[in-house]
Amino acid sequence: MNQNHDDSMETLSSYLKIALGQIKKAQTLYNEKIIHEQDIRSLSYQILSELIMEQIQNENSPLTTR
Amino acid sequence: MKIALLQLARIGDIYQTAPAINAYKRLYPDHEIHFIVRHKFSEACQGLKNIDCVIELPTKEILSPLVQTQTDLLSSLSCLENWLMSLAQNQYDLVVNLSFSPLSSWITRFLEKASQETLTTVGYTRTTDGYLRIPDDMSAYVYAQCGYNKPNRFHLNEIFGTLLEIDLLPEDWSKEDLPPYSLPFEGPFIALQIKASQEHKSIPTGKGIQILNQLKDSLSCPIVLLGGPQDLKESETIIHSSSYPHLVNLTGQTSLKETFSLIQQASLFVGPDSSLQNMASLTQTPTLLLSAGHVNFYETGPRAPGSFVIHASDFTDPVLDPSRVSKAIVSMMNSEAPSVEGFFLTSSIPCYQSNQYHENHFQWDLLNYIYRGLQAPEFYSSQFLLAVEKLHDVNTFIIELLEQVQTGSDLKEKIIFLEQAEDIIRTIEQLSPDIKPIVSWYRTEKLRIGPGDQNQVLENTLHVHRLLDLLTKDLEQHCEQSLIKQTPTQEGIL
Repeated sequence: MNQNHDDSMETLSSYLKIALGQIKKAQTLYNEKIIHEQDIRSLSYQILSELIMEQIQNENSPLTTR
Repeated sequence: MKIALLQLARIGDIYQTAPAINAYKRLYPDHEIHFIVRHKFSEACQGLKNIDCVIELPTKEILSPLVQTQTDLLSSLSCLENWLMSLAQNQYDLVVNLSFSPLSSWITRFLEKASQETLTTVGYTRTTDGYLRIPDDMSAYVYAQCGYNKPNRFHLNEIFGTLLEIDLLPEDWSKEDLPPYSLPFEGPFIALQIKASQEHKSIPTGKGIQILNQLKDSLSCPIVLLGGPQDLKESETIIHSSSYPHLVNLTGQTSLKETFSLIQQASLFVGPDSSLQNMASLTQTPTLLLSAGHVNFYETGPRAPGSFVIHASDFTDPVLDPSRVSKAIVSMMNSEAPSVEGFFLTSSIPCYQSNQYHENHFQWDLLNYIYRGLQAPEFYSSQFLLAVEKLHDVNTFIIELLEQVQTGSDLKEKIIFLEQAEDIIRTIEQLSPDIKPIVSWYRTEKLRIGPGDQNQVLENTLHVHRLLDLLTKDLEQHCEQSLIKQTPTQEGIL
């Protein structure tokens, strides 16, 4: 792994961390508005958060994320 | 019948799923199988049979709007939602989640919700209030007992088969017919991989060179080095430093499909716990697995007849000494069973057995007793008996508290005692690690209690504790009988 790769990974990760914070805020606001516990949009927010968290942790093996 | 299989793990797991897919299609040739994988790993589906449609999760497209100076959250969400809705529009009759990950559980939940709760699902999903829901016993078993440092000895192939409710036959380890890879030599050869996807599983380069040097006087067949473009540096070091005269370096030069063909043509595959090793099971190429690092080879090891596993906690262990490894390679190339310490493939459960020593099967026997109703373990330690007794006592205390709540006591007053009881269970587990399979079973069963009103939840919780009561009582009896047998009588001592 070279230095450029490290740098780009770090930048990617920092973008994703910022995005995750924004999604969590948006998700909380959305969930406060809806009457039911889950709908398609609230589940989408959650899936997007999970996808980002996986990318940040770089973990997508069943034996590590279980 | 249209069935979606969700496999969002890595390449190796995709290959590990293939025998179950083959078996399913053998039994239900008319059923349509959609295989959902990550775009990044979808190349692994080339060469697999019986998949009617591969659907890729486009992670990069979904996340791209977020990886820029002005984060475009709505574009990202819309891209994801379009993908999810297109999946839902396929109107599956059954979705089987083979991934065991939080992400996959939410996707499964999305599909249930989009179908107005009419969809049947197997594997991890979510409750209506967002907690992990594990509807089937096999997934609950995986949650509780599988992975590194866990006692499970069922192979992943069979676990995936069980999730699809099918039994595997030897013919299910197969792949699509592929054209042969054109090699610059003829005759038998060994396919060798040094690097795995993770460093802790990889054979250290120096050790790889030593193994090859040891083979110089015993073998004369070509050895083909395999790996991805990221492994080029290590392969070049090996080529320059090894004295083995018949090395062929194909690292970074073959696609996954070509690698498949190449491994099929090899007489032997040698490598660490990796996706290529899983490929060798599908091509039925005898494999020598050099297993080290955070892996449970019982779950992921080779399945081609004649395969052998040498396992150690890491590559510095003398069990993985280059002289021993090279000796095993020579034996396997002569179609002989290796005489070095290791595990050979069997057709029973577990599918590997040590050739040199009697393994400590205690925790595995305990799992068979708990989950399969088989005979309880034969021998126990007095420490284990003590742990079972304490677990039984604390569980009796919990049952009493819950029954008091059921007859009118205030739950809030009991919560502190219930929490303290759980702390005691944690301590028992720490002091007697052999009891972990029972505690893991108990915790998973409690986690499986779904949402409901207080009475429902209370009744379901009590049900789990009553099962634990039966289990601990029965085990106490077995322990006591076994310890009486093990205690030498006075006559014996004299």
